Amino acid sequence: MTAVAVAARPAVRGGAWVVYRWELIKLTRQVKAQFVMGLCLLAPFLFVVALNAQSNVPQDTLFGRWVHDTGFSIPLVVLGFAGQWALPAVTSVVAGDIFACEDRYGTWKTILTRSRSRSQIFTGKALAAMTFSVLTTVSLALSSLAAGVLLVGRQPMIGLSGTLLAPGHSAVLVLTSWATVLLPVLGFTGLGLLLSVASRNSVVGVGGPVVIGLVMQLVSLVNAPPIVRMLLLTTPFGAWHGLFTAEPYYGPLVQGAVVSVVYFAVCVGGAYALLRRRDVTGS
Amino acid sequence: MRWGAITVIVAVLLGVSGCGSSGVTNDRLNRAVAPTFANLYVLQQSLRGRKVAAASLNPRADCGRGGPETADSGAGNDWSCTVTWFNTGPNIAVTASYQVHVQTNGCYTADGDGPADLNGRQLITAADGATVTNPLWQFDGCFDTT
Repeated sequence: MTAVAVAARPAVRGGAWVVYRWELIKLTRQVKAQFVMGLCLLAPFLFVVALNAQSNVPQDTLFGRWVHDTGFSIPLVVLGFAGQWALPAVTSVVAGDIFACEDRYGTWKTILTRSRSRSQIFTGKALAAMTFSVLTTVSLALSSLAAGVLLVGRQPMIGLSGTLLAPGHSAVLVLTSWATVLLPVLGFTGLGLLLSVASRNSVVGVGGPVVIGLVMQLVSLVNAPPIVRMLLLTTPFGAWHGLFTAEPYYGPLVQGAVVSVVYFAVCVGGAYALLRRRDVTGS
Repeated sequence: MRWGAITVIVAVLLGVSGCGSSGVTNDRLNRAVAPTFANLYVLQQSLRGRKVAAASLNPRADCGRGGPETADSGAGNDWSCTVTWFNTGPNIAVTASYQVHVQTNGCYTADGDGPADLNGRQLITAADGATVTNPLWQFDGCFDTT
């Protein structure tokens, strides 16, 4: 009787927005979210201080040999590192836990008996996780650009075709490059959400995307048909290279955007379908 | 039934993409290395106090991989390139060698392999007496593999 009444009750309009705001407030109080955000803001400065203390340069990373010559190389070196494992890890810290934590604390029954529908709760939580991913990525981008410009300087940069890029142009290209990784970052957020819902386990939700990202990295190092590289969610993290040549090429950017959107749609759609059908009364 | 369909789709995709082919080819590498070298050569010469126009260099790169038996395609650190350009007059061709490490994502690192005066040293003395990084010692670049 009660169950029928709950099912028939119309969901409150604008409920997803309330859930979203509430999840954001929860995130700002979480130590791990604060820690990750702080790390994104501080790490680039510590990185540049460490680089300035020695004469060695990270030559094996693109633009790594110019870290002492121009500050614009710093955000690109950071982007090269971050795309390998840091961004998938940062984004899944929240995304992989945001549903699984309700399982851990056994609070599904509590929140699903409030006047919010399952889709409102799903939308609110997913949007909160996406907001966190975007904010941390933007913070890391701005902080590494600031660290480079303030601690190294705004000298012209040598692009990937050997031409000199003026400081203003370099700054625009750096910010554009960071903007292009937002899509694969959200793809990994979707993956974290899916694993969080499917496994009901935070360890799988947070660690899963990192492991999958590392496996994709390994696969992308092997000489394989282009289709294999194209289907990996880690490939779009390097699509910005084409912006720095004398004749820019955009093929990898277009391909990367499509692949990221497909990953995101499949993962978030799958997570939603799983949550809709879940029986929480037994848990 | 479902797995059969997936297998067919994967097989078709692999067939369409030309199974075994790679996005890294010697043609693409040639076209990336030659202009990059020319631009950096102009930069190095201007550091040394000599004005050179990139347009007059007519650079050409000839890149190959491993021995004669190895196909000239795919990522690896056994690529080598010979760059030829025209320096002081249209009839005088000059060459330089590079060991090249090409990655699967289309980015490469070229490591100078002679002549020593051109690309053998990490640091060179600029026209104003300052010690600067030699842009031709090692350089990075990327090309489109899609």
